[in-house]
Amino acid sequence: MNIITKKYTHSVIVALVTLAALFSIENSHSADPNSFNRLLAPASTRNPPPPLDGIHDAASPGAALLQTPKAAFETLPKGKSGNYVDWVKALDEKKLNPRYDRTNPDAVPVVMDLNIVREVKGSMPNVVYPHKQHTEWLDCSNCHPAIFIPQKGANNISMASILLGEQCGVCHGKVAFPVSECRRCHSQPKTEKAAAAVTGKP
Amino acid sequence: MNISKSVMWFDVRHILMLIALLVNSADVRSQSHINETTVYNKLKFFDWLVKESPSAVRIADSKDAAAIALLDHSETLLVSAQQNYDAGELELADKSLSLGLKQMTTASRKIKDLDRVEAAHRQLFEQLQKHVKTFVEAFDRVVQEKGDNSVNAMLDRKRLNEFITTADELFTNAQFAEANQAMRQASDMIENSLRAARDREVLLHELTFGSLQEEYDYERERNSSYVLLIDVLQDKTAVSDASRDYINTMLSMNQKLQEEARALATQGDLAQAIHVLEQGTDKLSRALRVSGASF
Repeated sequence: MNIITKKYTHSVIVALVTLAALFSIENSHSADPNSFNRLLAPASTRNPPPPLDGIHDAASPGAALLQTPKAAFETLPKGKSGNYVDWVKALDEKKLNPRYDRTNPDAVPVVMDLNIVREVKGSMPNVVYPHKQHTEWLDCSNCHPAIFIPQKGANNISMASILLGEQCGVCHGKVAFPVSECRRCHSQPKTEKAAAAVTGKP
Repeated sequence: MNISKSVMWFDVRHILMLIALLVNSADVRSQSHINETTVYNKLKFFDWLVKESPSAVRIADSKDAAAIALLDHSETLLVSAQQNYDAGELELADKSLSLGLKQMTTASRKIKDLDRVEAAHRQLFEQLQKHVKTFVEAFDRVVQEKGDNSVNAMLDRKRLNEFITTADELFTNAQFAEANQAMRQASDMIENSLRAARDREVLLHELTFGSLQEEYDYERERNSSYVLLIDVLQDKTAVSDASRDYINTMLSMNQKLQEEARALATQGDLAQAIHVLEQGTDKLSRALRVSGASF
């Protein structure tokens, strides 16, 4: 009897979520197909459930059965934009345990602890690029040598190209925090003396 | 005895009711995914898969009678699905399409796309080879920069070369998977050595300009990237009318300064052009802050 009740409950839930998914079809069809790439989306539209996210097939009953991002992100540290999760902090706090190799569950990442500091002109703080936080998630070959040549002075990095989706913009603004969060990269404050040395002005 | 009979009767009725509900909800489930858009999309895809896809061409060109028979049957199923779709029989159309897709998958698996597999292996090998080469060069630069033998010792070059030679030989013999495995070992090795050589270091990329022209080009790019960023932020963040007016004022002031700088640069006065453009960028910094960027 218990088993039947359990099955019955399950079926009713399935039926309800299916109906919910069907009602959402129209909405998702009219959505911007690239909406998932908009990390600066206003708060009202952030992290929609799978049938409404414009990625999953809203017509499939399975889409409604998937865990919603809101539920999945509940216990993770909060971020200020994008999907509003601080992924670096989440990894630091061991709230996540990413698998580094598709076939080998025991594989560990090659984490490189090397900071690159790039001086910039004006009052904007210098850029600090931490390899550590990136290589905890990514393989060296994700960036080198296709996006960045691992050689000092070989990469002419500019905000314009980042904003156009090149260099850092390959990920930032798409699947990582957007460039509007200046402070996260421009994180090394300049002393007055250092700023004057860079700008050539007192 | 009576009580247990009534309990039993209640159970039977309950069970029957549950079965009815289960059947009903199962019906809802089976029909839920059958809608016109889904079937239409599936039909369009299946039409391409059977008539034009590389898989269909590969199966048709093969000498595998069983695979060709599956392709032929898929074509029949496509006709039947189209007819049912036209007649509004979506469920029947969907059944034919699902069966057809399964048959095409089976047929496609029978005739492996060896060209594609080989192309993917070749591509991966080239990527790994380039990766290893670039990282070895980077490692050599670190050794040269530090002039320290202990850094050089972090890379077992003999072993690395063995991996590379083995990978090259295997690749020449068309043993692509094995070649990639050997090249990946080389890649892992050089990555680990480079990591050890640069552990906990900070590299400073100083901002220096070789000429005034170089600095002018940098300043122009900086200025235009600020304009782009303001554009992005304005599109995504809500600002008050007063703030929007201020941003627009700053943008138009920058535009005038940009034009002034351009004119100065054309006259050859690059130092003054840079100075004017810096003033423009300064106006943009204020607009950026009002747009919501904090720095």
